[in-house]
Amino acid sequence: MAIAAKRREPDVSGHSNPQIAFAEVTLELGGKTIIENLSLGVRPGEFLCIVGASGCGKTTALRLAAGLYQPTSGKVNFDGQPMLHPRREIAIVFQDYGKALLPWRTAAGNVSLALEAGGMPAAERPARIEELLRTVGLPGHAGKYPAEMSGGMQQRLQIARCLAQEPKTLLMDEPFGALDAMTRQGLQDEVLALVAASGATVIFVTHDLDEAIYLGDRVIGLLPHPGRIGIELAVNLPRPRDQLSTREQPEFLRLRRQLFDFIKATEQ
Amino acid sequence: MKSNAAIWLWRAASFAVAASFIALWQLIANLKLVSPVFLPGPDRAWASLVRGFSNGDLWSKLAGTLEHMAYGWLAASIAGIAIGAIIGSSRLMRTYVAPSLEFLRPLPVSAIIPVAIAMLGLTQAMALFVIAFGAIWPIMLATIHGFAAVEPRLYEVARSLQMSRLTVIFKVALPSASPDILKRDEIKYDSLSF
Amino acid sequence: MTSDNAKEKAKALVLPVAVLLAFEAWARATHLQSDSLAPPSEIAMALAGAFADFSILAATRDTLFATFAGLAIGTVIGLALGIAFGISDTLNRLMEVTVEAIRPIPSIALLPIALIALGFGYRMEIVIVAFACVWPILILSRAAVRSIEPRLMEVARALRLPPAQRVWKIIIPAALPRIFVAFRLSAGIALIVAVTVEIAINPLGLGAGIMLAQQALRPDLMLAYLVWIGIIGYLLNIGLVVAQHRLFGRAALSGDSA
Repeated sequence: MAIAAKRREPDVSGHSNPQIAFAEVTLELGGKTIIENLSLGVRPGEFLCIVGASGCGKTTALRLAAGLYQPTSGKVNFDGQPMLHPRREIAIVFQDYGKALLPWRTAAGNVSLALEAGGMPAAERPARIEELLRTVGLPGHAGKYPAEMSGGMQQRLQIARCLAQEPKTLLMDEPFGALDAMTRQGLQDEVLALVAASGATVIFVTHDLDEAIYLGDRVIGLLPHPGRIGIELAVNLPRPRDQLSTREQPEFLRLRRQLFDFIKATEQ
Repeated sequence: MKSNAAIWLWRAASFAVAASFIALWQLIANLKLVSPVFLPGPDRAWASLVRGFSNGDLWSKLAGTLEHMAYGWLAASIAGIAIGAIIGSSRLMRTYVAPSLEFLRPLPVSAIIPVAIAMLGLTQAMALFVIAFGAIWPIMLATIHGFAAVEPRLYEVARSLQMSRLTVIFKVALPSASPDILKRDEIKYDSLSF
Repeated sequence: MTSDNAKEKAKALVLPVAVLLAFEAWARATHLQSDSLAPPSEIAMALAGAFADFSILAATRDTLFATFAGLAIGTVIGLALGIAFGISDTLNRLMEVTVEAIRPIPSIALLPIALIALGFGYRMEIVIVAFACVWPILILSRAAVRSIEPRLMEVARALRLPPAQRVWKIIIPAALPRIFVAFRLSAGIALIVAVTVEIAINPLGLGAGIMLAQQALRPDLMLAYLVWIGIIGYLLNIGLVVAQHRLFGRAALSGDSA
């Protein structure tokens, strides 16, 4: 699969309007402060990766960005508007794909759900579903049920459903965590291709440091208890990325070292 | 974690909703939207209730029903646990008897009423028989299940200790099965409450 | 495997067959004359006779009509309320006292009121059956909605599904397996209540048939009706169990979080 070479350069000007902005966001759940005074801005078209030790609040931050949680204090803005509830322009890919797909609908039915929610007339849906399934590499699997598909295929199906929303922003919560290494690498490249073609903004949560550097324009590491930003790295590696050559670059290794030391320090 | 105050507030609100339904009932009765022969208002219903209790009529009827319930349940419990223990503690009996019980379980219990009337006439004994017959199923089935689920290792221990059949039932199987039996006693009211 | 199955089935029949034969023998030996008991052979003949003149078939039709009509009405109401209470915690809490006050009323206790209001016949019986069915369906479908996989509800939120679509496309399909179990339970209750109403007062259906036989001092016919009621109850239950396995056999089709 050809990876598109053209990609919108992330806007590095300091006054750009962030697509997603956290302003002094604090979230308390069940008496514990999960995230405290978190501020960050994600530029349109940027691929931001969030890493951190378990329990540092990275999944929580993602769910705040999705509008599934409301901050205890501070504001989460999307395109300048406060996020009071989830929006159709934001699509979220969950880690437990098995639970996020409707087991009683076929692959086509699952993708169709997003189109139905968007109000697309029934006559137009089959063509779009076909197109989306082809984009994620599942052509001809329209009639299969999720239970009949492998983990990698199910995750692709979830991505297809998210793409059906035509999102401006894609939120991905450790989407490849439950998959084997080979599938993971294949899907990483597919996601890069999809994002490059659509120009969507991405927030990608992962505990895999290599993955974060490979995929992102910027990597943020969170410190746990409470969650706050501990390190921020700009990833100046050339695009398109390549599984072999990119990972061998001295810059890649340098970033890797930095992140690794950071995580090690936080785990003490 | 809701505070106590919140729980009581909700309960009060719920009572208010129930009261508003009664008020609606009263309104319908007052406006005579439905003939008062069919739907007397809550005021008349309440007056009848008070009358019935103050002249002793409802008390004796209530006592009668409760008596039936108590005796019937007692008989059913004793018989149900006894029969259930015998059937449940023997694998042989379970294999041969359980399927028949499974067949009899969905049978409408009330269908026994005419048979009971034929056998015992319109008497107290008939009423008790029907009640006990209805109540015995959940208890007996729960007992059988409880006994069947006794850890087989315990039976082996009993055998090696040369315990008699009865001793096994009382000292091993019954204590082990009692959570099942008692739990079913509670929801017995639920499954028969139609 | 099938010979094991056959052996299991054979063992299951041993006891009933033995009991029937013993009963038959005893009845013959003592020249049984009774108002309440009859030998199995006579019961069988009475049953055959009732089939031959279609009386028992008409009665079966009547009972089943009332049963299914009441079941349908009770299911629709119970399902609507159960789903509403499952979705809206507020609504559930507000209605708690009302529901818990009405629920314990035995449906048969409504008989006199229903009789005054509606008179003898189908309507009265259907109303009572419906009342009896509403509660198990309400309680169990409420529980089913509450135990839906939370991730699916989040997907519905993330997709901004309008409420009607959320109920129809996510909640009902996800809760359906457990709702069907509740339906099966209610079907059994519906039959029991219908027969009971007929035995008590309503001059139609199988319950009335069994009472008439008892009053006519025909124990063979009475017990024949009893046996037939048992068979109907058994078939109804088995039919629904088979349907359940057909529809929901693949556990993967359940949207339950359990």
